Amino acid sequence: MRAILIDDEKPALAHLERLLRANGRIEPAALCTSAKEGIEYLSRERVDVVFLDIGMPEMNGLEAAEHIQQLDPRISIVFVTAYSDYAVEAFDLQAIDYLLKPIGASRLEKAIGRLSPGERRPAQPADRAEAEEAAAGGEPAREAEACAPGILAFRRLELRVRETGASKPVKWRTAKSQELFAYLLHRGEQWVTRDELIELLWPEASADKAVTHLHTSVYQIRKILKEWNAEVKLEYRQESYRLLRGGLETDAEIFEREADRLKSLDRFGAASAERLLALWTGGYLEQHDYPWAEARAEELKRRRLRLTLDLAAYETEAGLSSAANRRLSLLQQEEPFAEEVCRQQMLACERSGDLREALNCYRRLERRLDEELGVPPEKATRQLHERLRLSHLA
Amino acid sequence: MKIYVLDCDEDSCANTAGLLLRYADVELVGRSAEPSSAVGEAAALGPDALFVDARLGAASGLTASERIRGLLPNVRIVYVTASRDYAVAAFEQRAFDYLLKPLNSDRLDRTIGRLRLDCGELRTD
Repeated sequence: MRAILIDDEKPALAHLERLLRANGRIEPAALCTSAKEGIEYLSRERVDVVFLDIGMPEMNGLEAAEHIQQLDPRISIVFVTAYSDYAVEAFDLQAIDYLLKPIGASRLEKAIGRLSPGERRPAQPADRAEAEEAAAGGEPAREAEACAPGILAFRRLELRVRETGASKPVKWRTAKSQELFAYLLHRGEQWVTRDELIELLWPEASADKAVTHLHTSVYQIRKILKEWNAEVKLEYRQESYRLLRGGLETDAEIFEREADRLKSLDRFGAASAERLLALWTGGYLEQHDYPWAEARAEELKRRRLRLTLDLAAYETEAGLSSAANRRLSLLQQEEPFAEEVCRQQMLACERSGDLREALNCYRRLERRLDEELGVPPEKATRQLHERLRLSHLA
Repeated sequence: MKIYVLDCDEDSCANTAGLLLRYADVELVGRSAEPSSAVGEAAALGPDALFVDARLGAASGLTASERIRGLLPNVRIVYVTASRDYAVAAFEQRAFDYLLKPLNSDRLDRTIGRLRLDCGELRTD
């Protein structure tokens, strides 16, 4: 998704840009210091979202929002302001969110979550037009074909609509029916006994109540499946249930299977690795906090770390240090104590001739480890640092 | 489209309900002036949208609607209130809309129009 940022204060623009880049899901395409400049940009370029300050000289953010909506009603607007007084007007303007300055990373993350296509409420008929465009062979459909998981399990459970390639969270009637579906999905197409499901989902309920809950949830899931994709079936036999997928795979399964196949990274392997890493939108079912998903989530996280490191090592070797560096700094934010990430980043900096930055990477890691965990870096990291320090001196 | 109205002020509750009934496709499944009983009742009736005052006597409409959403994760929350003070919190909570009293029928038209689109998107019943 592409965004522009409009704010008359440059430091505020820089702060938001930094947060967006760190988050990585939205590309800040332009920073504008006035509403006029922003609107001019929008009349030339296609943008998905505008982060808009309200208190600005000449044209304020509320007026600007009206202009922007006239220009293209599909553009989402997120207000970013120091004042809480205009939130009612922001609702009138159908803004997606209203963020109070100073913005924190986690609140911004929430706002971004609301922007992603699957999350977006179809507030305006224009969204429909977009969906039809996609169905008619627009870009989203092509993208979906390239690697097409039918079900998304990274970050949160979402079902993809086949016709459009768009995915959306299903409106489950209860959290339990969602968890039941997620669990059966998690188990592949294996049979799972009724008792196991009850023990997992309704451990506190009396036996007959629990059975009733289970039946209700099964009924709800079947209803949802029938509307979504009739080839996916929830089967029952001899007091056991299973989910037949009709060949559909989740993004996590594709990631796992393909990552296993990528033994060594050559040019083609690197391209596949990049595609696979793009599937990763967050930890396995992370937004649901299911205890039974934790082990798998850890395993997938480990694989993703490994694959990113391998790809960065390939890029470093191939002279693509800046790509490697970008990849690694993003990863380091998620895994601040993973020393391998830091080491690879130091190597990438060395390769691009920036020894000073390589040493800085080490210093930042050293400080982080000391402040948060009270330990020094591992021996391998210290040795690498020593070698780079000496060659920097030379 | 099923709507439930929760407002501690009887008159205001009746007024909102009356305006909603002018839409042929709106089914007013229930209304209440009593937050404590409304939570369970609304959850049982399973409305598509909840029209609720942001201030319910001494209690907060945000807390009540959050509890209802705990039971009905997909219910759309529309605040109908005399106070502007809860609008930032309503964004935080991802409320569907926020309308000021006295209700303006043009503004309500827009909310209903957006609800129709949103509810038609993925009907599970």
